[in-house]
Amino acid sequence: MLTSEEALKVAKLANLRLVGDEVAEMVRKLSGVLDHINQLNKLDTTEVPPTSHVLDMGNVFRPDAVTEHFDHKLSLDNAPARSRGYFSVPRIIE
Amino acid sequence: MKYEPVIGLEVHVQLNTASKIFCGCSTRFGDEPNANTCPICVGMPGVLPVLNREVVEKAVRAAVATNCEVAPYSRWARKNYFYPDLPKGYQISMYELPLAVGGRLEVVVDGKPKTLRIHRIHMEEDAGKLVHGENLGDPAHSYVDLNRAGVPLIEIVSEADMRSSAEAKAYMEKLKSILEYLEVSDCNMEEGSMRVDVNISVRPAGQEKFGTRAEVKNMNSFRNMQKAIEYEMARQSELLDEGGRVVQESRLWDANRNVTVSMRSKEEAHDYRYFPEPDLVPLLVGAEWVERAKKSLPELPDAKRQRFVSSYSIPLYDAEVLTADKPVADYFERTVQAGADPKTASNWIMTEILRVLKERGSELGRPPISPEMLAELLKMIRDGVISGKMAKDVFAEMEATGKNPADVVREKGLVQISDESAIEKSIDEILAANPEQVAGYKGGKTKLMGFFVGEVMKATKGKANPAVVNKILSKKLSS
Repeated sequence: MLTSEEALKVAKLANLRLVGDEVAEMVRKLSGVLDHINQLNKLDTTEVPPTSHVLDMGNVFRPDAVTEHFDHKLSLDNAPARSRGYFSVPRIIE
Repeated sequence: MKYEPVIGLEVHVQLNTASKIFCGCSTRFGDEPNANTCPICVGMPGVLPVLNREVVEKAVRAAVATNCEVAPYSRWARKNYFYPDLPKGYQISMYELPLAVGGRLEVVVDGKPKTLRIHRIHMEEDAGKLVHGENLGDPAHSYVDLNRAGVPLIEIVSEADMRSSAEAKAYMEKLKSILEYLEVSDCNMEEGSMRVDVNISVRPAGQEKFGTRAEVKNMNSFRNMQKAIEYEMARQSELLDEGGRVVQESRLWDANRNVTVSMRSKEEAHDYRYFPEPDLVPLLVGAEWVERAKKSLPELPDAKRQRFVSSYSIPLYDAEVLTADKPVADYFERTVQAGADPKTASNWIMTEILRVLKERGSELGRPPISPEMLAELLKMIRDGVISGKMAKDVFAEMEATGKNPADVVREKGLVQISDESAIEKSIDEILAANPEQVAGYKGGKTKLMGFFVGEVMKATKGKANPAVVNKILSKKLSS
């Protein structure tokens, strides 16, 4: 069982704010996922090659060509704030 | 107590492809903000990255040129963190199964050869660029330009093999030189196409175990990297001497104050929760690909240096300087091919040509003075048309105007007087006008030779061939 501290840490890393009952709910759901993984861990997989990807293929490439299928001005259109062609965000302090 | 530094370097290099690593946007530098963006590199939901083959091609070349073992099977991973320059909330990188491992660079530091090992090389996408508000009007905001987001990078991680700032510099110089030879990157530290992070710890001399390290970022030149390393060595040694301990943290180099400062804001972010990138299939670089990459390598700096020593009989030091930059090496070879003596060409290139390049900050791609022009100038010295001293003046004029040396010599009336009868006439006049000095010289004041040479040069406006002047003067004065 996950602790609520662990759940809150994961939430923070994921940029999620959990309030009230959400913490307990997340503890329950994440613990369920971990229980499932632990169940899988009990299987003997020494003879099974690791799966990196569900598709049994590799080397999907595109050529190094500049393509413009898209008006870049649309990039900014969904931004909550923009200015002079830039996305505008709260000040980042370094 | 005496401490020894243990240094490892993480170098990020932008690969010079035309398009980004996972989408068809241009990688051009200096465009309008966000002009080179699309749904993939701004991180819209539901889009799919597709790998640019040329990125792999260039990364594999870099890996084989640095003696790395290219993995037959590698895999992409998501590195998760939140920062406004990273639109997806993760960076597509490689983690458990990188492209290549186990390389090495051979360097020479203080005349001693040393092997510096490379731990791994992996590919990843660059993040965007943040502009702070005060530079754009509103100090309460930061502004994001995603033109750089998705530009292909390779990260080259060294082993912690370096024991001084000079060794770190030698590693960087050799790496930059190789990557420039390969033409896979511009390697411009000021523009950020080559960036270095330094991992540094100190330990009491003789101790085996490594100390706690700090990571230093934000150095935009080799000089600043060396200064940052030396600052950290002093800071950490002092801390330990005072009974304190070094904290594992990221620090930022402040080039204005010449200090490193703690980056508290990044401390919590180190839990990246890497996991395999489901949007990209594995990468399989087979033996055939690696073989092809090896065959396609140009002559690399180490091999070129050896060849310069054996084919042109120039000193090892000269060869080292000339081969550090491929354009300079090419310039040297073209000058020699145009008929110049290799050692004379080397002397002129290491002094005058490198000085011009440094002053102008210009690339040799557009040479201010072509190798053929330099060879012609050197030929005029060899043939006695002009003296070495005149040649410096001719060179300065060539540098300023781009004119041919022969034209400069003609226009300035600089042609050297080698005609013995003309010089002899001038010498006779000077000896006749200075009987006291002649007597003095004959009485043993041989240093007066300089006075006579000076007078002849003055009389001929510096045009007399010094070798001829010396010869005739010696003859006349000893008779």
